[in-house]
Amino acid sequence: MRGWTLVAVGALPPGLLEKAATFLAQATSLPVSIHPDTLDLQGAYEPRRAQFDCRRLLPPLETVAGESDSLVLGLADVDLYSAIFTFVFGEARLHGPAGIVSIHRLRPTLYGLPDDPDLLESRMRREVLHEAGHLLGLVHCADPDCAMHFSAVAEEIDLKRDEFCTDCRDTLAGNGH
Amino acid sequence: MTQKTLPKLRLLVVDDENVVRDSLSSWFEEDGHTVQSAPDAREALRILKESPWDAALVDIKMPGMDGLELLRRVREASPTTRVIIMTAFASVDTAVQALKDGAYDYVTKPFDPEQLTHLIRNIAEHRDLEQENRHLRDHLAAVVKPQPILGTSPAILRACALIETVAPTETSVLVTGESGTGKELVARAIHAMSPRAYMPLVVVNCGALPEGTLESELFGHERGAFTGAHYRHKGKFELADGGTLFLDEIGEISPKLQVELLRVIEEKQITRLGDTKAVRADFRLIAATNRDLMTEVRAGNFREDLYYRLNVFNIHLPPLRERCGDIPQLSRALLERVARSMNQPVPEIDPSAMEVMESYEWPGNVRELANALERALVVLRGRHENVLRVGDLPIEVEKNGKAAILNSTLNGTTSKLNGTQETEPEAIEEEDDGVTPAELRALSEVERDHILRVLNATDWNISKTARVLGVDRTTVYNKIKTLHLTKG
Repeated sequence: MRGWTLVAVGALPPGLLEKAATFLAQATSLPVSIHPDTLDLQGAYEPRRAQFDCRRLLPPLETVAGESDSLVLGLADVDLYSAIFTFVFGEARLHGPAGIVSIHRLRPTLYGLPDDPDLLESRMRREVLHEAGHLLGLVHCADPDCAMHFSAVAEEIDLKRDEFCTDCRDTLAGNGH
Repeated sequence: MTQKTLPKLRLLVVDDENVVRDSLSSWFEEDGHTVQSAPDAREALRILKESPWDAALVDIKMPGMDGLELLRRVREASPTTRVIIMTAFASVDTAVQALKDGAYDYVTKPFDPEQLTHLIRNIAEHRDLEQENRHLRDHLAAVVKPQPILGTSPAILRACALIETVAPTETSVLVTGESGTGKELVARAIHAMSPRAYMPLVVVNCGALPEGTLESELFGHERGAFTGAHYRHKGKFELADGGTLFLDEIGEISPKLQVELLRVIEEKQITRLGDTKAVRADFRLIAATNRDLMTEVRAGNFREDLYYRLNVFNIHLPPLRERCGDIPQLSRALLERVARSMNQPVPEIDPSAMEVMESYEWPGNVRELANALERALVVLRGRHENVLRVGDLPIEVEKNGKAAILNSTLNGTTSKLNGTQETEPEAIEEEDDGVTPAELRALSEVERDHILRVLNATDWNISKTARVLGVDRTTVYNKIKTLHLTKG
């Protein structure tokens, strides 16, 4: 069974990547390593939108996946957008080799609320697990408590748990994970 | 066990931009939907022709045929496919045009994740509701479909025409005709063809219940309204709310109930027994009787005002003896129905048997015919034959050429009811010209004895007795009452 490699995409708050690694290892029972290099963000910046394009960040992460023979998740602290959406919390293709999660829109301060590091970490855990689930082949889940439930806004992430529901766990087990 | 996935849709993405097609497709796949994409309108129409799609997300600006033209084509070719128009440049004019042309919705690129999620969920809910609605309608159509009223005689055709005329209205109907002519069938047909078809049809046999019970059945009662009223009970008037109330044997109701029924019809409100609060009752009333209600009115047994309230529209069903020409069609249809219920092949009817059936009077009308055919089918099964002959019918041709009911029907049937081996019906003994006057008895006496014999043979089981006699249960109850028959 392949493990995970976490990659810092641009600057991150200190210790956050390590917390994400500890959580992911525990949640998926797979080994997690942290890539020594930080991925440069500059090539992905779109000045017209003042956002970063996921499509330009995923290929270098996929290269890391090929080199490390692991599933790769990048963690960023910038506003991400995709080809079709005004913004995304993260992006990963089903059964893909790499995905990305950004904590930018998970911060309560973005919505005019007081800073809350615990809430930010809790949201990050859920989104990291959500994108990891897609890489493992899980589709969106109808159970609103499950980490695989789709959240269109940050408050919806708070309704989820930072684990998969029983059915999703069973599906993973059925897929050999 | 598999994931609790959201409702699955079949989605077609039509956009000339490869990145939009790919990104949308992969996002929809993450939701578990089936997705296919097309780079232009021509390819989209080809895909739509191959199989049904729940929704098509169509870019408004494409080389060749644009999104609005494709929308119009999709509406024609695949009306159940909802079209969502996508555009990079929102303009009120194009949005209005798209919606006017029948688009389900209109979204601007790049999409707001929340908006697109809601849109897709709405489509799924809409689709599911439409499917549920379709299934329920199909199911209900099968449930409410009435048995056809068979026959081509002028009297029956006239009755059918009257049913069609009155069914879509709210008019009260009085169905008249002898027992067994199919009055309830008419009520069911009227209900099924009315706008109330999807609401309940509540049938009450007024002749089958004693006055107190009937009143409680009709009006319902509150807990403690009378001894034994342990629970609140909704009456038939309330149960028929929104639907049709069929009061069979209306001529049998007591003067007190006649007054109460008149009040309900006029006020469209009822008060449960033991309650003071009136409840609205919206029902269409169909009543039926085998009595001549006008005669009853003249005799002072039936309220004239109620009679006119009930008899707004009259449908009279002729007795079977007045429409012998319908017997071949009726008997074949009845035989087919009974054979199917008995999981038996449908037998042919021998021409001579048909002739006998056509010449018989059928005092119990279609119900008696149905019972005779059911009995014949049982006899046939025992003989392992598939042609119904004269001998299989509980009818015999008399010397004068007229058909008469066999006396032995009872013997044969009661043996069966008692669980003993079935006996072949014996032929009725020919009328003895040398009979003594002492042996001659009034018809009412013979009737009384005969009914009593059947009642005793069936251990006073009313349903079995009615079946053996070829009459309905109400008639048996009435006979018990009028002939003062007692058990034991």
